[in-house]
Order: sequence, then C-alpha cells, then structure tokens
Amino acid sequence: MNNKIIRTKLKVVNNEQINSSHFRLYLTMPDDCPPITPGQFAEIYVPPTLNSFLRIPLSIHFISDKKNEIQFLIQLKGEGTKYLKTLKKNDFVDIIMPLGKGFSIPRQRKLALIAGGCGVAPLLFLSDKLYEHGNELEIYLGFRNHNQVMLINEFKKYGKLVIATDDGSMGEKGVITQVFERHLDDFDFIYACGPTSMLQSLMYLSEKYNIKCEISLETLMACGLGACLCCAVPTKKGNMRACVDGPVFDTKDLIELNE
Amino acid sequence: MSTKIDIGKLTLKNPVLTASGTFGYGQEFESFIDPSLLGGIIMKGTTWEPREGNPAPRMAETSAGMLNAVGLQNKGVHHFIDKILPAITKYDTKIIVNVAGNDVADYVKTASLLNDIERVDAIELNVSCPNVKKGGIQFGTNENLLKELLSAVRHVYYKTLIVKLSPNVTKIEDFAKISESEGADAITVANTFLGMAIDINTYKPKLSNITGGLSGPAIKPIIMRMVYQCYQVVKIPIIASGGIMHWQDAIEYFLAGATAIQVGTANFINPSASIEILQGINDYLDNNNIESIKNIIGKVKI
Ligand SMILES: Cc1cc2nc3c(=O)[nH]c(=O)nc-3n(C[C@H](O)[C@H](O)[C@H](O)COP(=O)(O)OP(=O)(O)OC[C@H]3O[C@@H](n4cnc5c(N)ncnc54)[C@H](O)[C@@H]3O)c2cc1C
Ligand SMILES: Cc1cc2nc3c(=O)[nH]c(=O)nc-3n(C[C@H](O)[C@H](O)[C@H](O)COP(=O)(O)O)c2cc1C
Ligand code: FES
Repeated sequence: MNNKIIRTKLKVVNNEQINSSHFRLYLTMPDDCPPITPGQFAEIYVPPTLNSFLRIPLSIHFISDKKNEIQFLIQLKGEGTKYLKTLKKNDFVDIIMPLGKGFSIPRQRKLALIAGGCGVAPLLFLSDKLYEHGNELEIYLGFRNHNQVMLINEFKKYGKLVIATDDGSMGEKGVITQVFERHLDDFDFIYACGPTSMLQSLMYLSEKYNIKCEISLETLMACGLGACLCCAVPTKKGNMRACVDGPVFDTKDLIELNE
Repeated sequence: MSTKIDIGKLTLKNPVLTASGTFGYGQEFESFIDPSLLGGIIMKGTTWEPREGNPAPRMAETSAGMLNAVGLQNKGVHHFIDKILPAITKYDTKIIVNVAGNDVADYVKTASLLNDIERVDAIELNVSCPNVKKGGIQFGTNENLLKELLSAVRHVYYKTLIVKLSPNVTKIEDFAKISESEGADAITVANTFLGMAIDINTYKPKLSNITGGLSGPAIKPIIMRMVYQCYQVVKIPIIASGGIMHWQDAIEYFLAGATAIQVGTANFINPSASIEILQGINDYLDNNNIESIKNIIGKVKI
C-alpha cells in the first residue's frame, strides 16, 4: 500500500451535541499522523453489542491544525454510534486512519459543494482545503426540516451558502438537488455526499450539464482496508472497493448506485 | 520451545495462518504487521475465470459475528500468478491459494496450473463457499461429488493439498474421512455457516444474495465440536477456522485436535490479531513449559 495508515489510541477532547440526532466528537491529533485528504475516513473501534460487531467507518469531518484536533460528525444510527455518544473528555478511542482515497483539490476554480443531512460530514474539511487553495465555493446543504439544520456558521465563512429544507421551514423549499439546479452556474466541479437518491440525481445533473462530479459513498464495510471485498461498488471498470478505490468516486466512472 | 508444525509436505514455522478472503493478499495489512512472521497466508478464493461476485449489500453485522455474501469476486488465477504473486513472493512465509471452480474441470485446470508455480506452497480446495450458485458448497455437502472432485484434483496436483470442508452438513466426519482416503494432506474445518438476516423496517433480506456465510465468535463452539469430531476419525492434520479472536481460542482448538489455526474475521476488527495470537501462543507454551505445540494437539481430557 502506498498510503501510510496508522492505528492508535486518541484522547477525547470534547463530545458536543449538535441536535437530537447528531453530535461532534473531538479527538487529539496523533503526533505521527500521515497527511490526510478530505474525503478520507477512519475506522473507530466500538465494543461489540448484541447487534454490532465491527469497527465504525466515519469520514474525517474537520482538522484543526491550530488546536491539534481531529473532528467527526456523527449521526445516531444504532448501538455503535450510541456508544460513541457516551464518550467523555479524556476517554480514549482506538482508531485506524487515514483510509481510502479522498476528493481532488484543484486551484482557483469555481466549485459547488452539495450535501444532504449527515452528508455534510466530509464537506467541512473539504471546504477548508478548497478555500485554502484559492477556489470560489458555493455550498448547498439540504435538511429534512429546520430542527435538522446544522453547521451554518462553520460553512458560511468559505463562500456562498444556500440552505434548503424538504418542508420549507428554513431556507429554500425542496430537495437540495432541485434547489441546486435552480442556482446552477458555470461550475468547474461538483462535490457531494449524502443519501443515495440525492447522489443519483447529481449523477444525472453532472451528465446533463457536463460538469465533473465527485461523490463520497457510504457503502457498508467490514475491513476498511481493501481485504474483504464486502464494499464493492459497480463501476465501468468492474467492481471497485469503496474503502481503498473510494469512498470518493468520479460519477463518470460509476454505473447506477445501489439503494 | 517450538511452534513448528507439519502440514503434508510442508513445515510451517508456526501454526498461525490467515483465513481466505479476510486478509487480502497480505499487502493490505503491511501497515500493521509483517506477514513474514506468520506460518502462512491463504489467498482469496481463486477461480479459473475472473468473477465479479454478488451485488451489494454483501455484508451484515450480527451478534458476535457477521454475514458475508461476497461470492468469490476475484480476477482469476492468471491475474493472480502474473500480477499479485510477484508482489508477495518477498514474504518469508507459506503462500497457500484457496481454489474454487464451477465444475470439476475448472478446479482441475486451476490446480494443475498452480502445481507448476513454485512459489505457491499449497492449495486449499474451497468446496464450501455458501455464496455462489456454481462451484462451492455442493461439492462439500455431497459425498460422491467430493470424492469425484478430490480424485481428479489429486491426479494433477502433487504438492500439499488442503480441503476446506463445509460445516453445513450433518456429519462432517464423513467428509473428513473421504478427504483423507482421496489423498488430501490436510483439512480445514471449516468454512462459514449458511445464515440470513432481515431488515424489520423494509422487510428485505440484509444481503443481496438473501443468504450469506456466518463467521466470527458466534460459530466457534460449533466448529470446536467439529474439529474434535474430525480428530477422532482422521490422521491428517486439521486446520481450525472459526471465530478465533484471541490466543485462548487458538489453544482451545489445539486441545480439540487442530494442528494449525486460521485467523479470519478478527483481522477486520484488530488488524494485528494474527500476530497477537501468535505471541499469545508463544507465551502460553513458555509459561507452561510446553516444549512443542505438537504436545498439546488433541489433548483435551475426556
Ligand atoms: C466511508 C464511510 C464514511 C462514513 N462517514 C460517516 C460520518 O462521517 N458520520 C456518520 O454519522 N456516519 C458515517 N458513515 C456511516 C456510519 O458508518 C454508520 O452509520 C454506522 O456504522 C452505524 O453504526 P451503528 O452501530 O450505530 O448502527 P448499526 O446498528 O450498524 O446500523 C443501524 C442502521 O443503519 C444502517 N447503516 C449502517 N451502516 C450504514 C452505512 N454505511 N450507510 C447507510 N446505512 C447504514 C444499518 O443498515 C441499520 O439499518 C460512514 C460510512 C462509511 C462507509
Ligand atoms: C468477507 C469474507 C470472505 C471470505 N472469503 C472466503 C473465500 O474466498 N474462500 C474461503 O474458503 N473462505 C472464505 N471466507 C471464510 C473464511 O476464510 C473463514 O473460514 C471463516 O470466516 C470462518 O473463520 P472466522 O470466524 O475466523 O472468520 C470468507 C469469510 C469472510 C468473512
Ligand atoms: S471493506 Fe473490506 S475491502 Fe472494503
């Protein structure tokens, strides 16, 4: 493997509730951390429960070099994420990272970032890096309703921010891909993460308007290391492994997405 | 203190192997361990023709284990020999190829090709994959088919031949005996158990293939019983595979009759599991003044 991967124990700095179903976990950065690209992920150990058994894959949400911190944005799903919610300051987590292939980082382009729900997770770190490289960003975030809207302050410093909710209770009304199409401009690149249906619509849009589009897929994974082939993603070049060939893929390489 | 063991014509420096399909080709774990420290590494199920495997979802977590329905995705034996093998010959360990096929002819072609590849030390015949329509479990669950397959493969393959049995049978001892009488050098007990899981919100099976193979600690007591039963009826070495997470599990299998063990699903949670298990075995032998691992094989007191 070319990418250097480490397994280490990291100390919890903070565990912050964001809304009823999301929280943010702050860990100290390891000293020997290899370079991390936005879109890469980590596998975090959780003790086995009655229904879960494997590590939990989580996108790297943000890295603060100043504070020497790495952050994860986590949606409560089942027992594993419930355990992560109980972690307190000074607890330790067993983590393997950085894994997978991240987003490409161009310079001085006009870019659109689109996320639905917890899909915002990898896009904050991505916005930070894209901004640093002199790109012009427009960020489109879609949520179910105003209670689910999050991270407005974090994102707005990187460029134009458009919020949409399915019920119109905040921002523009409608699904984020439709809202995005209304604003569509001469973008060089689209980046996205979110529910499969949203990513599928973006695949059509990127083809229709001929804009290069990279999406991050949350395929079920067992090893996260390229060894088990549980995470197969059908592509035009045959099955690829989401954990090492992805999780970020160029939509022009993909076939239909699986629900 | 010695951890050396013999499997057919091979002497392994220690009894810790990695299970097919759970350790890639070794390279995937180089950030965590040195594969050269292991007794051997077993490659992903390899077929004559490339296979794409099953659609997603291919895995589901369960209590103390997981279901998988990967379905023998691999790029075929020629790709293995030309593209993968050269990159891993540097490992100072035994390289064992897990071989599967659609029919007897397929197994025979692959086995006879691998017979001439010097760096491949042994093959493990996969007659037990629960996730493919053709060429898997039917050979491992039908005594006549198993006989026919083994005698054909034995004719073309002269190196160490291991048969990986299916646990999805009523009397695994019968399949162990057939393997021995048809000339196998060792048996692996066993592959995964056929299982199923359903999503209660969507009413859909959690795996695209509907059913899948159950692995992990959930299966350990059943495989333990099978290793014990096989040890009563065959003289060829038994390689245990099923839910080995810690060195204690390995010792338990040696006592039941295993000569070697495979670390499988454990690699996913702890990528250094195989080496930690090896270290644990060494310490156990040292602490108990046991001169050779061979001294505890099958020594359960009944
Ligand atoms: C590369 C990658 C990056 C990810 N990044 C993040 C992230 O930044 N933040 C975050 O909150 N989550 C992320 N996920 C999803 C996260 O891994 C799962 O939500 C988590 O494993 C659920 O664990 P659990 O034990 O709480 O729930 P489980 O009990 O395992 O599952 C609860 C329910 O969620 C479903 N589920 C489990 N895993 C997934 C998945 N990967 N995709 C869709 N549904 C799933 C299950 O089928 C089940 O219905 C990511 C997944 C991948 C593969
Ligand atoms: C994801 C996955 C893929 C597997 N692929 C193969 C395979 O290609 N050939 C094979 O003989 N066994 C395969 N197995 C079975 C394992 O080699 C092993 O026998 C089984 O998982 C039981 O051991 P464990 O409980 O330690 O995992 C696979 C298992 C898993 C979990
Ligand atoms: S999760 Fe194991 S190969 Fe991708």
